[in-house]
Amino acid sequence: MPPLIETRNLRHVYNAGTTSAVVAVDGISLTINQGEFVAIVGGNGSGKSTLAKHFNALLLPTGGEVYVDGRDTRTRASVWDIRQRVGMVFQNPDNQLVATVVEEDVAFGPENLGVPPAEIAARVEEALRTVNMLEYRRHAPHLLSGGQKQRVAIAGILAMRPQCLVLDEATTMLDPQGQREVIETIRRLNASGVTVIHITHAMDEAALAHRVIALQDGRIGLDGSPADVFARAEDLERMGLALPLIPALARRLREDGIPLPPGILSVDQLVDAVSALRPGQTARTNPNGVH
Amino acid sequence: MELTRYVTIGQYIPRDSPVHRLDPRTKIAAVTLLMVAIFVVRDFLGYALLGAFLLGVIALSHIPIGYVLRGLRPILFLLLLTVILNMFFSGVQGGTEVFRIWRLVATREGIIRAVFIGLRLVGLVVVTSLLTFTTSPVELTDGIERILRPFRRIGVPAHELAMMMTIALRFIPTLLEETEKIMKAQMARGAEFDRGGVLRRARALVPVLVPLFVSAFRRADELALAMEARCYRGGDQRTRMKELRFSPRDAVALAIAVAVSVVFAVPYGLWQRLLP
Amino acid sequence: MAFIECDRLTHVYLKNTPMETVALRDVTLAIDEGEFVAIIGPTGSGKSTLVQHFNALLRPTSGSVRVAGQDLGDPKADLKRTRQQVGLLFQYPEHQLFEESVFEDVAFGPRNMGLNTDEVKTRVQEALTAVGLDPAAFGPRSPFALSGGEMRRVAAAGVLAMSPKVLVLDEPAAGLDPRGKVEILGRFRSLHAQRGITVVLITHDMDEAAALAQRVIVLDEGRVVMDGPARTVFTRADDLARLGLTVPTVTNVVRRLRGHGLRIRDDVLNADEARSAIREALGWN
Repeated sequence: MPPLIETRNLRHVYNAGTTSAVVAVDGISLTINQGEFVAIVGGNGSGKSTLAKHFNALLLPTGGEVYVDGRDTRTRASVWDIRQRVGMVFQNPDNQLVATVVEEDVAFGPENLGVPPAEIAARVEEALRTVNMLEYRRHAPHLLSGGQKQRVAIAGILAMRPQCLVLDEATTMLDPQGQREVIETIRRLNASGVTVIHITHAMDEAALAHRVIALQDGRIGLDGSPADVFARAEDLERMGLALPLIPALARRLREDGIPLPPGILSVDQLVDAVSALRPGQTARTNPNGVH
Repeated sequence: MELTRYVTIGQYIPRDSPVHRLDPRTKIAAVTLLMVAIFVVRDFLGYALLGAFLLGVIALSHIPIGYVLRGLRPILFLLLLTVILNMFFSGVQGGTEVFRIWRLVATREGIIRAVFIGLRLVGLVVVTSLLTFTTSPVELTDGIERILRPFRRIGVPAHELAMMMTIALRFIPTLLEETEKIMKAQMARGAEFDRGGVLRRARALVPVLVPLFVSAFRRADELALAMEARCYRGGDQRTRMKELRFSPRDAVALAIAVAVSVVFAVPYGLWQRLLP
Repeated sequence: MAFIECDRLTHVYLKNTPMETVALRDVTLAIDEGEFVAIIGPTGSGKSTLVQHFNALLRPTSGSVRVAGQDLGDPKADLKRTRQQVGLLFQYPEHQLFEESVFEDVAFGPRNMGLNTDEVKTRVQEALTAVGLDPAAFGPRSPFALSGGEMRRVAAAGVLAMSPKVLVLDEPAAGLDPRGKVEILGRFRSLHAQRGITVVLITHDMDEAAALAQRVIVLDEGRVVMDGPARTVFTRADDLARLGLTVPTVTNVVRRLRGHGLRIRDDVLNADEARSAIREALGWN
């Protein structure tokens, strides 16, 4: 079985051949398999959104190739197949809802695919139930909160029955409540088998993924598990990316000589590791004892 | 939020009424017929009967009459202007003078004509708001698309027109909200929108209109991308979740609309001559 | 006397319509010159409505607002002066840029104040410098050709150029990447520290509030439900959780450690404080 998404030495140059040419993606080769939960991080101008738009043929390579489920994205005939397989949710919740009623909006994708009416209705209901928005099916989108709008947008993608969901900074404009709603939704979807690619500059969200790819100047800087990537604090800083608060605090405590184990990403992990070291706890976890 | 309060024209009021349940195509056809009738009626009895008929439809649609009348508020000025202009300048020579202001003479014929035109305007607004009040934007655009579909062969872009309407309706509230926000932001930097003459006021709008256009274009760009990502490729081979169904109820409604417009289209005087 | 004083301020949107909503109820508070105040609360709790009363963009439905001793409800009140004294930076302020050049856009406020060309020029240069943009390099450029973070800073300069005594910031870092966030928040911090500008910061990010503000006001359903030093407010984790709010990440860490029986101070607000508190609690000095 081919990988779900594969890029081979992908390059993308905007305004190529003019004086205002910008190299946004500069030779990226990566493979994303079915079922993965990948976070792509990077500062502004790192090329992460440009990269993402190649995953469903919204942009075509100016150099190299992109394959989705074995199909070359440059093949005209495969475009609709590819877009049905790899759905995309964008940053601004207001600018991706088309219809004036929630359920009509969710139906938009399957309608474009030519799905029969009865099946569209069934898919819409299922998709809205999956994102917990079924009770809002007859609401007007502009009266929903940001988190609710993004969940409707996700439902609109799910109704196309995709294999992969790409979120292009889909949490950036949301309040913490909305961010939690969206993150909780995509984690649930990933657990049920949907591949998730989450593009973000919120490093604490990236820590929830199974794999983190950090981009800088259109190239892959780091690619690995969150624990591996966040252990490379200096590299991240050089890329204009701060460590999330918890790994940063753990790192400074280690610098103070406190023997915390590696790979601390969450509050829970830090709390457990620190309590294991508290005075009176066996010296087994703290071989140096109290200074 | 504040701006939307003043606009009731074009708003949909969800109710469970026989009028709401009609097929949008029926309603669009009926409204067209009634508009013709409104233009053709030439006497007060006709207007009275037509008014009574419209009141009946309003009652049947469970829409509060106050809502319908509020729809007239934005055109009040236009209405008044039309009536006054017609009263004095309708070009009726040698009519019976009723009163005069300075050199303006109001004749009996002119006044009658002015009142007719006023009634027509009111009728048009009431009929169209009845359509939008009882038909959701989705149904409305679906209806228009289906009515126009046969004309695609002669180059009428039925689907594209309907899509444009849908998107316009979807983004009107968003852009109204945005306008208000931008105005406030510029006021916070000392802009004043209610000072000075026409020219100064027009110029004061530049700092609002420029960002509004920039944002509208950005939204359009992003929306186009989002639609493409959702496999949008025009109207061909597209299916619809909800298909329109023409029911016996629609047949009855359409028959009534045809009957009413025919009855009113014939001048009262003619009826008198036709009927023994 | 406090610089901004709200007394039993109530605001109702769309009063006497079916869509009537009470956004603020009996809000009484005072903000002194030189303070750095964070206003937090769930979405829809009235934060934005409240601050729009500080420069008379909204009028109270009942109650009163005084700024620099002037009652804004007084028909003779000089609102132009108030809008100069209280600069308000809206959410995503880069969406309000409109001029052909950065210089002209920043000059909009000072020109509306009726300043002469030289004064306007000085104001623009000072404001751009204060947000870390070189006036000579950025002044002539089109604001629409800048990066997101730079556009945001130009918009901030547009407000600073009015020389406000109070700077009200509605989610000033929302949507920026980590570098842009650090950059712009750092600018506001030094404006407060070095120039003594009063700052009122609306934020959803508790780490941001804890790192910057001395005082925290918590709104819920249009009411002030907490108002006090950041250190005190953020130790009330349970009360905040009931409102759907969290405490800063590091405050949460020490709180959880106490739950595990570690004897550690619970009023830490930033990573440095957490670091020394943990060291101390582990006897690691």
